[in-house]
Amino acid sequence: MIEVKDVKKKFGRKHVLKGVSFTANKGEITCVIGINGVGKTTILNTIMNLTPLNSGQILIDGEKINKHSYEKITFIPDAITMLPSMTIREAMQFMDDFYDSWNQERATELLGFFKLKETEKINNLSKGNRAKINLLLGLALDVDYLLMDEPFSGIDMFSREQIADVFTSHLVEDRGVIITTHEISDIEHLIDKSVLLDNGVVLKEFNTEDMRETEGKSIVDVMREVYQQ
Amino acid sequence: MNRFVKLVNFELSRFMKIYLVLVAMTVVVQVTGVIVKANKYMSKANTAIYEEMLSRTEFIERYGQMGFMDVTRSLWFMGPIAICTAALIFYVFMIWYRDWFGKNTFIYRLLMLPTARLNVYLSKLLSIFLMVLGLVSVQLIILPLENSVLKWLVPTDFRSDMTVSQIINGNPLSMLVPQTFTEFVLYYGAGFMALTIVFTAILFERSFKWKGIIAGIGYVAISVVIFILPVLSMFIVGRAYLYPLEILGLETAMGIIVTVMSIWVGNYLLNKKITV
Amino acid sequence: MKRYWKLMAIITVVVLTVGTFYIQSSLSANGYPEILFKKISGDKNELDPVVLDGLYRSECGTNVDERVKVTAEGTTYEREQSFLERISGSFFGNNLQELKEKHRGFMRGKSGRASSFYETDSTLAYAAVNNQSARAPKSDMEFDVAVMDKEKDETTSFTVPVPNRAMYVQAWVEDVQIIDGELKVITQNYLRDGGEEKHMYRVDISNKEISGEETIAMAGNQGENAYSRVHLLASPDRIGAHSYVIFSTTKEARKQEPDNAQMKAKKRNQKFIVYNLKTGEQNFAKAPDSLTDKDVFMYKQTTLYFRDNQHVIKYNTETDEIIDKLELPAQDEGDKQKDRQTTVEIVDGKMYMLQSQVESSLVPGNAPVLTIMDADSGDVLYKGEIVSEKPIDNNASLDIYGLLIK
Repeated sequence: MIEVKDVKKKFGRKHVLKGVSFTANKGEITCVIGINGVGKTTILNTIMNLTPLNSGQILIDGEKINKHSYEKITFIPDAITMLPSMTIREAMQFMDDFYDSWNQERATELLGFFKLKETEKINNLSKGNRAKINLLLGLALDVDYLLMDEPFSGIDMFSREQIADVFTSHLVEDRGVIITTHEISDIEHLIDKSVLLDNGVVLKEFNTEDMRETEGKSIVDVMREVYQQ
Repeated sequence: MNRFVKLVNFELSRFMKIYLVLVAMTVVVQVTGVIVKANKYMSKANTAIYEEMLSRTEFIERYGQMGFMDVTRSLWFMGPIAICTAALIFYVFMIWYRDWFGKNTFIYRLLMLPTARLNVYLSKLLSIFLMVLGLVSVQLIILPLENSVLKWLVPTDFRSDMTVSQIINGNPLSMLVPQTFTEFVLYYGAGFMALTIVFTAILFERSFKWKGIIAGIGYVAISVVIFILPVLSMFIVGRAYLYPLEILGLETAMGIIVTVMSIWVGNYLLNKKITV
Repeated sequence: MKRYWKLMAIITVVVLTVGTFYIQSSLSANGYPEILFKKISGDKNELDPVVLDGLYRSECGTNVDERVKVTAEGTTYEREQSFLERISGSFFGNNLQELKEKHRGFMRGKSGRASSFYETDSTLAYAAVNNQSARAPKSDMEFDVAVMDKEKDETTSFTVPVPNRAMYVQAWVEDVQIIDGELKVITQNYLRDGGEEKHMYRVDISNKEISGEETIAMAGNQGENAYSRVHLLASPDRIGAHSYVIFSTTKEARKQEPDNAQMKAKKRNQKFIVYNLKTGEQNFAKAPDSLTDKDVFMYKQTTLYFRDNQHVIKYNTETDEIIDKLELPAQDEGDKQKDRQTTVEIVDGKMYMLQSQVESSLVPGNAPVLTIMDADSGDVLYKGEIVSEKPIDNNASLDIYGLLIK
C-alpha cells in the first residue's frame, strides 16, 4: 500500500499541494484526476522522492522510500527517461544493468506486442512509439507499484488502444498502479479508485465500483458534481 | 560489476565521442605543429645557407638552434591543451545540466536507480577526474613521439635536444605534470577538491533554483575560505607563524575536510533537496 | 566485462603513463654532472665544512636555472630534492636552519634574518621590529623580543614600542647581543625626513622595557653637494657573542653628471666607528693610506680585514697598526691581469678562498680553485680544483660562485 499523508508542497510562494492524503492499494488501479496544473505530477514526483516535500509523509508498504524501494516501485513519467541517442536494445541493457527486478522476457514480449525493433534509436521513434518504449521500460520491471503520469496525452488513437490493452493484461494484474490524467474517457472502465484533485487538495476519494453500486454514479457524474459546485 | 562501476563506465561512455575527438585533435594539431615549425626553421636555414651564403655555424649563431621549446611555445602546441581544458571545464557543468535539459530528462532515471544517489554524484566526479588524467596521459604519451618527429625532421647540427622532463619543466605544462609525484598527488588532490566544491554548488542551484545560485556561490566562498584558512591566518596575524611543512600538513587536512564536506553536502542535497 | 572497456582503458592508460613518467624521471634525475673537489695538495678532511653554491643553467628552456650545492660528500641539484625538502627550504642549510631544527618552538614565527638572533651555549635571543609600513601615516613599530634560557628551557617574550617611533619610517635590526644581562639591539633606522641612523637600544629583559637608547651614527645628505653613508661591516660571527661592532662611514660628493672618471676618483675618506657594546665607547679609526684601495670584507673584535686579489691584511683599529699581511696564492702566475673573482671567508682561524676566472669552466686547468689556509700563518692546508666529473652539455653552463662555511 502507498500511503500519502497530508503532503504539502510549495514552489516559491505557490502552494501546489496543500495537504494531500490518499492511499493506493496493491492490485488496484488508482487514478488521480484533475485539470492541468493542480499538482498531479508533483504528487508522483514526491512519492518517488524526485522533489522534496515541505511537510507530510509518504510510506510505501509502511516504510519511507529508500534506494531499495526503486526495485519495488517505478515511475513512468510523461516523457521517456532514456538517452535519446540509445537504441532500444541499449536502453533495455541499461535497465538490465541497474535493476535486479528487470524482466527481459517480459520486455521482449512487450516489444513484440508493440511491434517494435530493438535496433531502433529512441531519437528516431515516433511520439507514440516513444511512449510505448517508455511504458515498456517501466512495465518490464517486476515491481509491485507502478506510477504513470498522463500515459495517454498527445498520443495517436491506435497507440492509445494498444496501451489501454496493456492495462487489462497480466502485465498489470496484481500490481498497484497510480495513474494521473485530466481526461479519463479512455480508461474509465479500468479504474478501481479515483482521487479527485483540485487546487492542491483532495476533493473526493472513492471506490468507483462502490460508487456505481450504491449511488449509481459514474466517475464522470461524480466529477461533475464535485467540480461544478 | 557493482552499480557504481557501471555508472562510471556509463558516464564515460556518454562523453566518449567528444572525448576521443579532443584526443585526436590534440594529437593531429600538435604533430602538425611540430612539422610546420620544423619545416619553417629548415626553410629559413636553406634560404640563409644557399641564398645568403651563410655557413651552417653562422646561421646557428645568428638564429639559434631549433629546440622543442619553439614548438611548445606556439599555438600549435598550447592551443589544443587550452581547448581540451575549456571543454572539460564546460563539461563539469554539462555533466549535470545535460540530465535536466532537453525533452528526455534523464535525471528521472538516475535518481530512480536502486542505488545510493551518492553513487551518481561520485560516478560523475570520477569520470571527470579520469578524463582529465586521461588527457594528461595522452600528452605524456605523444610528447616523446613529437620529440622524435622533430629529431627526424631537423638535422642534429641544427637542433638542441631535450628530454621529455626538460620539455615539461620549462613550460606551463609543468602545472599539469609537476616535477615530483608528491606534487602530482597534491595538485590533483586539490583539483579533485575543487571539483567536489563545484559539483555541490551546482546541486545547490538544482535544488533551490534562483536562491540556489546564491547558496552555491556562498558555498564556494565558504569552502575556499576554509581551505585557505591556514595561509589566511598568517596574513591576518601578519607573520609566518607556521613552518612550511606544517602549512602543507594543515592545507592537506583542510583539503580533505572541504572535500568530505562537499561530498556530504552534495549527498544530502541529492537525497533530500533535489528536484527534477 | 567487454562493455567496460572504456573505464578499464582509461584507468590502464593513466596508471601506466603517469607511473612510467614518474618512475623514469626519478631514475633519470641523475643525468646531472657530478662536481668533484680535485685535490692538488693538502688534507682533504679540511673540506668537511665547505659548501659551494652554484647555478646550473640549461639553455633548452626558459625556466631551467637551478641552484647546485657541492660538498665533499656530493653534489645536489635543486631539482633532485624531494618536494618536501624543497618546500621546507632547507636546501642551503644555514645557521637559522640549524636553529630552527634545534629550537622549533622558539623559532616559530621569527623573521628569517640571522642578524636578529643571538646564541651562546646558555642563551638564545631574538629581536626584530614589527609593524613596519613605509606608507602608513602613523607608526606603530614595536620591538618583538624573545629570550630563552637554554638550561631552564624558559622563554621570556614581549613586545615594546620603539621609542620615538613617529620619527621613523622603518627600522631594521642589525645585531643583537646580551651583555651583563641586558639586551642590546643595533638597528638601522630610516627617518621620515630622509636621513638614516645607526641606533643602539638597551632592553631590560626582566622589566620588559627599553632602558636606554643611543644614536651611534647619522648619515644622509650633507648639504647640497655631498652625502654620507654608514653601514655595519660583515662579521662571520653575527649570531655569536661579541663585544664590538664596527661601522664604516663614507662621505661622497654628489656630482651632477655621472662620469666614470669621477666615479673612480671618488673621494675615499672611509672612516670606521668601533663601538664597544660593553662600555658604549666609540672609537674612530682611519685606515692608513696604503689600505684605501682595498676592500674591508669583515672584522673580528677590533681587527679589520682588508683584501685585494693578492693579499689579506689585518689592521688593528686600537693600535692603528697593520698586524698581519697574508699573501694569497695566485692561481696562475702569468695570468694576474685576467679578471678574477675571489671569495674569501675566514672562520675559526682558517681562511677559505674560492678563486675563479670569469670564463672558467669546470675542466681541470681552467677550473675554480679552492684554497684553505691557516689564517695566521698562511700555511696552505688544502688546495684543489673544482671540476666536473663529466663534461657539461654544450647548451648548459654551471657557475660555482658562492662559498659557505658550516
